[in-house]
Amino acid sequence: MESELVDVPLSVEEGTTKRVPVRLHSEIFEKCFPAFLAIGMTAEEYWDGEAELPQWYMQAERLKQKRENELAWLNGLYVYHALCNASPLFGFKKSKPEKYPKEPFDIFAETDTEEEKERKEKAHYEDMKARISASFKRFNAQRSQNG
Amino acid sequence: MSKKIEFAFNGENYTLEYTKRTIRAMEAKGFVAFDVETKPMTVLPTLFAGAFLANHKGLSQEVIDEIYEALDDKEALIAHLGEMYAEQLEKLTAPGNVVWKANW
Repeated sequence: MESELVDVPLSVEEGTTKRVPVRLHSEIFEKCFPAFLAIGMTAEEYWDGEAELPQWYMQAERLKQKRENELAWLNGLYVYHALCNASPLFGFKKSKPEKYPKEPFDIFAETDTEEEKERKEKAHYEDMKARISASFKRFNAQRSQNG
Repeated sequence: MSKKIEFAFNGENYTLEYTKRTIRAMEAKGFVAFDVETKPMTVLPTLFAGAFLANHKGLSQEVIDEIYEALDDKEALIAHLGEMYAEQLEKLTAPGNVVWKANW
Protein backbone atom coordinates (compact mmCIF):
# COMPACT_ATOMS: atom_id res chain seq x y z
CA MET A 1 0.00 0.00 0.00
CA GLU A 2 1.51 3.31 -1.09
CA SER A 3 2.58 5.83 1.48
CA GLU A 4 4.98 8.73 1.54
CA LEU A 5 7.44 10.08 4.04
CA VAL A 6 6.37 13.27 5.76
CA ASP A 7 8.28 15.52 8.12
CA VAL A 8 6.50 15.56 11.47
CA PRO A 9 7.40 18.32 13.92
CA LEU A 10 8.88 16.54 16.95
CA SER A 11 9.20 19.59 19.06
CA VAL A 12 8.07 23.10 18.35
CA GLU A 13 10.77 24.49 20.65
CA GLU A 14 13.64 22.60 19.07
CA GLY A 15 12.35 22.94 15.54
CA THR A 16 13.32 19.34 14.89
CA THR A 17 11.39 16.94 12.75
CA LYS A 18 11.49 13.30 11.89
CA ARG A 19 10.35 11.63 8.74
CA VAL A 20 7.60 9.09 9.15
CA PRO A 21 5.70 7.06 6.57
CA VAL A 22 2.09 8.14 6.32
CA ARG A 23 -0.87 6.79 4.47
CA LEU A 24 -3.59 8.84 6.09
CA HIS A 25 -3.28 12.60 6.52
CA SER A 26 -5.35 12.39 9.68
CA GLU A 27 -2.60 10.32 11.34
CA ILE A 28 -0.23 13.26 11.02
CA PHE A 29 -2.88 15.77 12.06
CA GLU A 30 -3.42 13.79 15.26
CA LYS A 31 0.34 13.46 15.91
CA CYS A 32 0.90 17.21 15.56
CA PHE A 33 -2.21 18.30 17.45
CA PRO A 34 -0.68 18.32 20.97
CA ALA A 35 2.33 20.38 19.83
CA PHE A 36 0.07 23.12 18.52
CA LEU A 37 -2.19 23.03 21.58
CA ALA A 38 0.96 23.52 23.65
CA ILE A 39 1.74 26.78 21.88
CA GLY A 40 -1.73 28.19 22.39
CA MET A 41 -3.67 27.17 19.31
CA THR A 42 -7.24 26.20 20.12
CA ALA A 43 -8.70 22.90 18.99
CA GLU A 44 -11.18 24.73 16.76
CA GLU A 45 -8.46 26.78 15.11
CA TYR A 46 -6.44 23.65 14.46
CA TRP A 47 -9.16 21.40 13.13
CA ASP A 48 -11.37 23.98 11.39
CA GLY A 49 -9.04 26.90 10.67
CA GLU A 50 -7.11 28.03 7.66
CA ALA A 51 -4.33 25.75 6.43
CA GLU A 52 -1.68 28.42 7.07
CA LEU A 53 -2.69 29.06 10.68
CA PRO A 54 -0.32 26.48 12.24
CA GLN A 55 2.62 28.13 10.44
CA TRP A 56 1.73 31.53 11.91
CA TYR A 57 1.47 29.99 15.37
CA MET A 58 4.89 28.37 14.91
CA GLN A 59 6.43 31.67 13.83
CA ALA A 60 4.77 33.50 16.73
CA GLU A 61 6.14 30.87 19.11
CA ARG A 62 9.65 31.38 17.78
CA LEU A 63 9.32 35.13 18.26
CA LYS A 64 8.15 34.52 21.82
CA GLN A 65 11.10 32.22 22.52
CA LYS A 66 13.50 34.78 21.03
CA ARG A 67 12.07 37.46 23.33
CA GLU A 68 12.32 35.18 26.35
CA ASN A 69 15.93 34.37 25.44
CA GLU A 70 16.75 38.08 25.25
CA LEU A 71 15.10 38.73 28.62
CA ALA A 72 17.07 35.84 30.14
CA TRP A 73 20.28 37.35 28.77
CA LEU A 74 19.42 40.76 30.20
CA ASN A 75 18.53 39.25 33.57
CA GLY A 76 21.81 37.35 33.56
CA LEU A 77 23.67 40.56 32.78
CA TYR A 78 22.16 42.27 35.82
CA VAL A 79 23.12 39.34 38.01
CA TYR A 80 26.64 39.31 36.56
CA HIS A 81 27.10 42.99 37.29
CA ALA A 82 25.66 42.61 40.76
CA LEU A 83 28.07 39.77 41.52
CA CYS A 84 31.03 41.71 40.13
CA ASN A 85 30.10 44.74 42.19
CA ALA A 86 29.56 42.74 45.36
CA SER A 87 32.59 40.47 44.94
CA PRO A 88 34.87 42.51 47.29
CA LEU A 89 32.48 41.66 50.12
CA PHE A 90 33.18 37.99 49.68
CA GLY A 91 36.92 38.29 49.77
CA PHE A 92 37.42 36.51 46.48
CA LYS A 93 40.96 36.27 45.22
CA LYS A 94 41.69 39.12 42.87
CA SER A 95 41.38 37.76 39.37
CA LYS A 96 39.85 38.91 36.15
CA PRO A 97 36.21 37.82 35.81
CA GLU A 98 35.06 35.97 32.72
CA LYS A 99 33.40 38.27 30.25
CA TYR A 100 29.64 38.13 30.03
CA PRO A 101 28.29 37.21 26.55
CA LYS A 102 27.85 40.34 24.46
CA GLU A 103 24.51 39.13 23.17
CA PRO A 104 21.97 36.34 23.78
CA PHE A 105 22.86 32.87 22.50
CA ASP A 106 21.31 32.03 19.15
CA ILE A 107 18.87 29.34 20.23
CA PHE A 108 17.70 28.84 16.67
CA ALA A 109 21.17 28.40 15.15
CA GLU A 110 21.03 26.13 12.13
CA THR A 111 23.85 24.61 10.12
CA ASP A 112 22.17 25.28 6.76
CA THR A 113 22.69 28.62 5.12
CA GLU A 114 19.61 30.69 4.29
CA GLU A 115 19.99 29.69 0.65
CA GLU A 116 20.16 25.98 1.41
CA LYS A 117 17.17 26.22 3.74
CA GLU A 118 15.10 27.98 1.10
CA ARG A 119 16.22 25.53 -1.57
CA LYS A 120 15.20 22.53 0.60
CA GLU A 121 11.82 24.00 1.49
CA LYS A 122 11.06 24.91 -2.10
CA ALA A 123 12.12 21.45 -3.27
CA HIS A 124 9.86 19.83 -0.67
CA TYR A 125 6.87 21.91 -1.78
CA GLU A 126 7.49 21.25 -5.48
CA ASP A 127 7.84 17.52 -4.78
CA MET A 128 4.52 17.35 -2.92
CA LYS A 129 2.74 19.33 -5.62
CA ALA A 130 4.23 17.22 -8.41
CA ARG A 131 3.17 13.95 -6.75
CA ILE A 132 -0.41 15.03 -6.39
CA SER A 133 -0.56 16.44 -9.94
CA ALA A 134 1.05 13.31 -11.37
CA SER A 135 -1.47 11.05 -9.66
CA PHE A 136 -4.42 12.95 -11.04
CA LYS A 137 -2.87 13.32 -14.50
CA ARG A 138 -2.33 9.57 -14.69
CA PHE A 139 -5.92 9.05 -13.70
CA ASN A 140 -7.13 11.49 -16.39
CA ALA A 141 -4.92 9.79 -19.00
CA GLN A 142 -6.34 6.40 -18.08
CA ARG A 143 -9.83 7.78 -18.32
CA SER A 144 -9.14 9.26 -21.77
CA GLN A 145 -7.75 5.94 -23.00
CA ASN A 146 -10.75 4.03 -21.76
CA GLY A 147 -13.04 6.57 -23.48
CA MET B 1 -5.83 31.73 3.01
CA SER B 2 -6.72 28.08 2.32
CA LYS B 3 -7.47 27.13 -1.27
CA LYS B 4 -11.18 27.13 -2.07
CA ILE B 5 -13.48 26.62 -5.05
CA GLU B 6 -16.54 28.86 -5.29
CA PHE B 7 -19.49 28.70 -7.65
CA ALA B 8 -23.22 29.27 -7.86
CA PHE B 9 -25.72 26.53 -8.66
CA ASN B 10 -29.49 26.85 -8.79
CA GLY B 11 -29.40 30.19 -7.04
CA GLU B 12 -27.20 28.97 -4.17
CA ASN B 13 -23.57 29.91 -3.55
CA TYR B 14 -21.20 27.10 -2.75
CA THR B 15 -17.69 27.11 -1.29
CA LEU B 16 -15.71 23.91 -1.49
CA GLU B 17 -12.76 23.41 0.80
CA TYR B 18 -11.16 20.89 3.13
CA THR B 19 -10.26 21.34 6.77
CA LYS B 20 -8.29 18.95 8.95
CA ARG B 21 -11.58 17.98 10.58
CA THR B 22 -13.32 17.14 7.31
CA ILE B 23 -10.27 15.23 6.05
CA ARG B 24 -10.27 13.23 9.28
CA ALA B 25 -13.98 12.51 8.84
CA MET B 26 -13.43 11.38 5.24
CA GLU B 27 -10.53 9.11 6.19
CA ALA B 28 -12.48 7.69 9.14
CA LYS B 29 -14.99 6.46 6.58
CA GLY B 30 -12.27 4.75 4.58
CA PHE B 31 -11.14 7.44 2.15
CA VAL B 32 -7.47 7.19 1.13
CA ALA B 33 -6.23 9.84 -1.30
CA PHE B 34 -3.39 7.68 -2.58
CA ASP B 35 -5.92 5.18 -3.91
CA VAL B 36 -6.87 7.60 -6.69
CA GLU B 37 -4.81 5.67 -9.24
CA THR B 38 -6.03 2.20 -8.33
CA LYS B 39 -9.63 2.98 -7.35
CA PRO B 40 -10.56 6.24 -9.09
CA MET B 41 -14.27 5.49 -9.33
CA THR B 42 -14.39 5.19 -5.54
CA VAL B 43 -11.98 7.96 -4.65
CA LEU B 44 -13.14 10.80 -6.86
CA PRO B 45 -16.81 10.96 -5.89
CA THR B 46 -15.79 10.82 -2.23
CA LEU B 47 -13.16 13.49 -2.77
CA PHE B 48 -15.74 15.75 -4.39
CA ALA B 49 -18.43 15.12 -1.79
CA GLY B 50 -15.91 15.63 1.00
CA ALA B 51 -15.24 19.15 -0.20
CA PHE B 52 -18.81 20.09 0.79
CA LEU B 53 -18.46 18.97 4.41
CA ALA B 54 -16.82 22.12 5.74
CA ASN B 55 -19.48 24.59 4.57
CA HIS B 56 -22.45 22.53 3.33
CA LYS B 57 -22.59 19.60 5.67
CA GLY B 58 -26.29 18.77 5.34
CA LEU B 59 -26.35 18.79 1.54
CA SER B 60 -27.84 15.64 0.05
CA GLN B 61 -25.81 13.30 -2.12
CA GLU B 62 -28.40 13.79 -4.85
CA VAL B 63 -27.68 17.51 -5.04
CA ILE B 64 -23.93 16.91 -4.88
CA ASP B 65 -24.20 14.52 -7.82
CA GLU B 66 -26.28 17.08 -9.74
CA ILE B 67 -23.65 19.72 -9.11
CA TYR B 68 -20.86 17.41 -10.22
CA GLU B 69 -22.64 16.69 -13.48
CA ALA B 70 -23.23 20.39 -14.09
CA LEU B 71 -19.66 21.59 -13.43
CA ASP B 72 -17.44 22.18 -16.44
CA ASP B 73 -13.77 21.23 -16.89
CA LYS B 74 -13.91 18.25 -14.56
CA GLU B 75 -10.26 17.35 -15.14
CA ALA B 76 -9.12 20.69 -13.80
CA LEU B 77 -11.65 20.42 -11.00
CA ILE B 78 -10.27 17.07 -9.87
CA ALA B 79 -6.70 18.34 -10.06
CA HIS B 80 -7.61 21.37 -7.95
CA LEU B 81 -9.44 19.23 -5.40
CA GLY B 82 -6.31 17.11 -5.09
CA GLU B 83 -4.22 20.21 -4.40
CA MET B 84 -6.73 21.47 -1.88
CA TYR B 85 -6.72 18.14 -0.10
CA ALA B 86 -2.91 18.07 0.05
CA GLU B 87 -2.66 21.65 1.23
CA GLN B 88 -3.68 20.99 4.84
CA LEU B 89 -0.88 18.46 5.33
CA GLU B 90 1.62 20.39 3.25
CA LYS B 91 1.20 23.59 5.25
CA LEU B 92 1.30 21.73 8.55
CA THR B 93 4.45 19.73 7.97
CA ALA B 94 6.59 22.18 6.05
CA PRO B 95 6.18 25.56 7.78
CA GLY B 96 8.95 27.37 5.99
CA ASN B 97 9.64 30.80 4.67
CA VAL B 98 8.96 30.01 1.03
CA VAL B 99 6.20 32.30 -0.11
CA TRP B 100 4.03 31.13 -3.00
CA LYS B 101 0.83 32.14 -4.64
CA ALA B 102 -1.83 29.92 -6.10
CA ASN B 103 -2.55 31.13 -9.62
CA TRP B 104 -6.05 29.74 -9.94
